[in-house]
Amino acid sequence: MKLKDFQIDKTNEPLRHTLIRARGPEKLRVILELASKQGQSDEESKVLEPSQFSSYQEYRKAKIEQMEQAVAHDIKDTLQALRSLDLYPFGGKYSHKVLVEGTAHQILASLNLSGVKEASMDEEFEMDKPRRKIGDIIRSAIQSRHDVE
Amino acid sequence: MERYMIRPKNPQALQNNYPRLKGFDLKGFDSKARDNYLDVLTSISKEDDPVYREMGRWMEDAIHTSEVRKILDINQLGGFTGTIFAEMTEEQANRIQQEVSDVHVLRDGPMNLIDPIRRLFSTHKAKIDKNDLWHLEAIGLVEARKHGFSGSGEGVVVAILDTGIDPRHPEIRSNVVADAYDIQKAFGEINPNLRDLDNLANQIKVYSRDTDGHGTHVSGLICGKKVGVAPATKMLNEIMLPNGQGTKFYYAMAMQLAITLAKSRPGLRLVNVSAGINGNVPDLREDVLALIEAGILPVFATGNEGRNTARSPGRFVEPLSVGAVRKKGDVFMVAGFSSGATIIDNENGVTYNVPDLVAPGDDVYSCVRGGGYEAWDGTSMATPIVSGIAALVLEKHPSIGVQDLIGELLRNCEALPDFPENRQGGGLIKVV
Repeated sequence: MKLKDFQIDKTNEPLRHTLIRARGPEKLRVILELASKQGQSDEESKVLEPSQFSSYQEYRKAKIEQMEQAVAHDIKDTLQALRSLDLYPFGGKYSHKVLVEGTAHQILASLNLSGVKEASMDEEFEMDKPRRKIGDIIRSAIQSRHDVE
Repeated sequence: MERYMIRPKNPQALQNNYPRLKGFDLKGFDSKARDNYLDVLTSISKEDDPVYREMGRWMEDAIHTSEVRKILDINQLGGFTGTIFAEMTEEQANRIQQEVSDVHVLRDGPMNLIDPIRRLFSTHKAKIDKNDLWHLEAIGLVEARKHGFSGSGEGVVVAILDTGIDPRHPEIRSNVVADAYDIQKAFGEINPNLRDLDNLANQIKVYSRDTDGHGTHVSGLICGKKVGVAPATKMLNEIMLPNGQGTKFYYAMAMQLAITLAKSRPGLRLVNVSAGINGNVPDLREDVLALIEAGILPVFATGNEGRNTARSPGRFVEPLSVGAVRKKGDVFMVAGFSSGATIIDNENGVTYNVPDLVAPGDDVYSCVRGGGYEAWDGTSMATPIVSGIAALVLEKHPSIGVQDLIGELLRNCEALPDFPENRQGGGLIKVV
């Protein structure tokens, strides 16, 4: 698959290679960073202070709702455009990152959208493995087997 | 010169190769099974063990003096323990013990061989006593309780983004919120109707469980009745690492779900993550910022890869990152495996050290899946101890913001002598 220069600029290296090599209809999991819009409504840009609320909980609730509104304002058009490509984004509620799953053709098409700033492949996120005694590891392996049985 | 045997305290390659050890049932351990077992053990490489690498670097430097002579590196013969035999003076033996802090240095001889063999046995206990709770002593909690401190983390909820939590364990049974969230379920079937996070939370709700055991050990250190720091804290189980493995997708989803859940759970002020990706992964940062903006403090482990390493998201400047200390005699030391580094962030024009602080993370007893207790090592164990202390602060000051909470925790640290800031940050955290 051939990528245009602006599409190359938007992708990280692993995704770029995957798209170039892609042949079939297999699905890719990709993280898209969506662009912010210029200008916010008064409500979205209002600075909230804890002192304006009866409790910290009320303040935080208002803050979370404001975050939702601000992100929605920024990315709603792009989300709609992604849906029209049959890419149904996850997330995008509190951050500008959304997660999509689609074929290489669909991902490439999403890169044509001006609201898509960057794209990267999903990758493994590892547990910090604790250092355990060999006896404990063996014991829990036996325990797991008993649990399954 | 005397003969010494130098080896990592806990051979990490064994746990890294854990799946290869599966299938060996020691109850039916006949000679054939034992031979197979030994074949697996002896084929395990030590190259990925940070303590072993640190030992190797120390030996390379020291070998140039006439006081150290390497005799045998058993790893090169296919050994799994990472043991190096060397001849050296007593002075050099003391030096390696101090400089590579997570090693056993044993003078060669049959009496001293008992110690490493004992290490191979299980630490599992059905019951624990006060001698197993050095981690609570180290942070000053035992002493504080003696003097009437009654903080328990009441009203605080901690989201545990981990392998799950076993809610049957008596230590934590009353603390685990019944509903858990299985992040993997969100990605199984692609259903456009599930894309909204509020709907999604309902669709991926499951009964609390642990897929590995790691999350249960972590949770016990926060809220365990005996082993925990804040025994009234509630644990919210987000299964982000089913069987110990997840992806950036899972992480992003779990972090955002925590914010969504915080809307209906005002006490949700902390997220505990003992996981990450080695090196700088900027993709993971925005979710951290969103969490902080929502009034939730993310507490991250920095990793178990030793000095000059740090995992993302623990390496970012905004969240609280945690390293591990161990106790040697009456002295607290940064554990050799504990990650730490000086980070130069050119993009944001800042230079800073991680971890922000350290907590007990070596031979720490906590709950295991199915019942009982085991002593595990890792920054994964240190991190929930800090989350527990943060819960105590939040109980006392429920309206404190994230930055003030971080400030309060850092104010309660005691610097360990002889360790630079990029190993310990502000030092060992204490309960006020």
